[in-house]
Amino acid sequence: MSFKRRTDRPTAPATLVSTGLPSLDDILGGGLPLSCSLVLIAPDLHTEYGELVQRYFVAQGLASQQHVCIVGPADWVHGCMWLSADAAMDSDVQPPSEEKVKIAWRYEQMKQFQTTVATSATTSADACRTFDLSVRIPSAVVAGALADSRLSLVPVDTPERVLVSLTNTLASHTAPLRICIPAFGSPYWGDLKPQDVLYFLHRLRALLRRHPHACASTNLAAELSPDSAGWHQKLGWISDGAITMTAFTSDPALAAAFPALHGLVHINALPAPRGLVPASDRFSTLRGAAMGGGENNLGFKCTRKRLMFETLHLNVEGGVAERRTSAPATIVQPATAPAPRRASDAVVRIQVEGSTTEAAAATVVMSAKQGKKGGKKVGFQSDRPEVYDF
Amino acid sequence: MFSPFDLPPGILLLVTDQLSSPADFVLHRALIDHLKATKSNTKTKVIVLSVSEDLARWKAIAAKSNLHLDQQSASGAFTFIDVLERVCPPNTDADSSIAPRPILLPILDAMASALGPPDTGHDTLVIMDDLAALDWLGFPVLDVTRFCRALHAMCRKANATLLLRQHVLTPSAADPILDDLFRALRQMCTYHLEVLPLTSGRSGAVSGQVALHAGPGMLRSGVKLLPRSSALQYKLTDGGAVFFERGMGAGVL
Repeated sequence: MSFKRRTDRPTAPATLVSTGLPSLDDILGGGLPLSCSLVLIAPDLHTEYGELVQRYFVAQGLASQQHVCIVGPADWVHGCMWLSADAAMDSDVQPPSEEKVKIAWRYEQMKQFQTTVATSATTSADACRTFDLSVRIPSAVVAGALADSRLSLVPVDTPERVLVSLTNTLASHTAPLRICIPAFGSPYWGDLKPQDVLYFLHRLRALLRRHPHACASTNLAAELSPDSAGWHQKLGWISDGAITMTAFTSDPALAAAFPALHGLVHINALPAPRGLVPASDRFSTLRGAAMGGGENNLGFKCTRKRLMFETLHLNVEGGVAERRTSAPATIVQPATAPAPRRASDAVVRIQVEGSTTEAAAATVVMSAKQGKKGGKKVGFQSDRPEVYDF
Repeated sequence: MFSPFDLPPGILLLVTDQLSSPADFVLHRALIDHLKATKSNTKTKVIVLSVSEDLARWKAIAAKSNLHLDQQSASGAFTFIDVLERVCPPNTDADSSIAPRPILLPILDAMASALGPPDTGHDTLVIMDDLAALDWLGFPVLDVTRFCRALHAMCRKANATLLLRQHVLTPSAADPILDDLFRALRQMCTYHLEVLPLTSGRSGAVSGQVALHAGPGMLRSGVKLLPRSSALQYKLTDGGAVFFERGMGAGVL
């Protein structure tokens, strides 16, 4: 016999857990595998996008009747979003109009340009629910989950004590468990040094490996998130998956360049618990690396009803919302004491070519009204239709 | 050691990698090739000192190459030592007047018992999967360096090959990231295998590139070195990596 059938399958595919965001699931290669840890880094001090993703993670767990463990107070859970009947229809997205736009026949069969992925209709309803950011989780749902022991809370303490509590929680569960650690490293955790943060995350990952029925999602407090001396790379090495969400609030130039997005997404590491290649490399539509080409740049957008991760594109005009073809006028202060001017006046300095004396330089104050060119007008004379008057 | 590099046994190979091009495949391939090598008179043995990777992942990846580590472990050919189960980083707030004791000594003891007496004639490979994590978790660099020296000395006595992996951090800004541990390791090694990402970013067709440099301990041998300018490119698959010359990969041309 030259071959035999392998009966045992030691490398069975890992069970995936949805993060509640279809686009983030796609980036992770279908979801977060059990026994893996995900770290969300949002360095912007003014926004809490990392925590928003965490709330999706918890809401998805509660909506699909899974066991959830949160390291934090119960109040935090009440801030989660919840399901609504019209959540699938985003108010910011224009519905397709009834009038059919006439386009060239050869382009008619082409798919519409998409920047994100939608919830797949083929997956089961529980796999990834559609949440609405304008709806809060009902108190009855939280109370019911606490009463059923589907939701367990671990108080914030020092990292060592939290690890002990998590070990006990994991030992008492046999069903799949989501562990959510919001704002890790905030002042409630004590005065943590970077090595304490890394040691906790490292131990947490080892704990998940010993209890492979659980997965953990952690987001770092904003003050621990800025990238200095390779900090994000260290977090990427220490955890299975690490994703940085850099909001544009810290950089207005980027906000102007990408008006459709609210921040950039950088993938530091992706989970590959049982192989050398992350599943995302093969299955992710958003990253686009499966096609053999380069990887797409990614960003995120938070509308009134939902958060989504998207591919990053420049606008039609090349990244700016309006054309910036006219150069700004250079303003030079005159040498002599100027006469009081109106705010709308512009100062233009003219120097005759070849002259070296300062006297040759004349300062002319132009009224903005005079200097402003009149807008182009196109006139059409009814008696002479062949002539346009510009 | 493993193709296509054909490194001699009994060396200290330093493997460095970056976050976007992890060198996991080098470690796993070294383990699989070593345990699968058929030698008539010598038994092969692999000892893994693990800081970051768990045993289940080693087993899962080896199983894809039809190598069952449970059987190898039962026969004594494979030993797995979890470093952080035996030691923990020192408490820096503790009283420093107490005489310092080598923190990583329990690992060396475990290593010595796993290696066995030096004249057993085993062809041994020792893999240390992550030294940078020890540094980041708070182990003093001096302790880690001394540990590596002691490990190297033990391996030389047993004529074993030592493979050390160190992560290299790339600076995001202009200021360089100083890494004393890497400098010490670079001075110690026989060869330095550098796994690099593509400078143009991630790609689906090419996962990264590998360069091979000579270390201070290199003896004269017929190993062909690969500078960065002519680094060998690779594409990761589930079972391992496929190497090809630059510009020769499927989907590249």
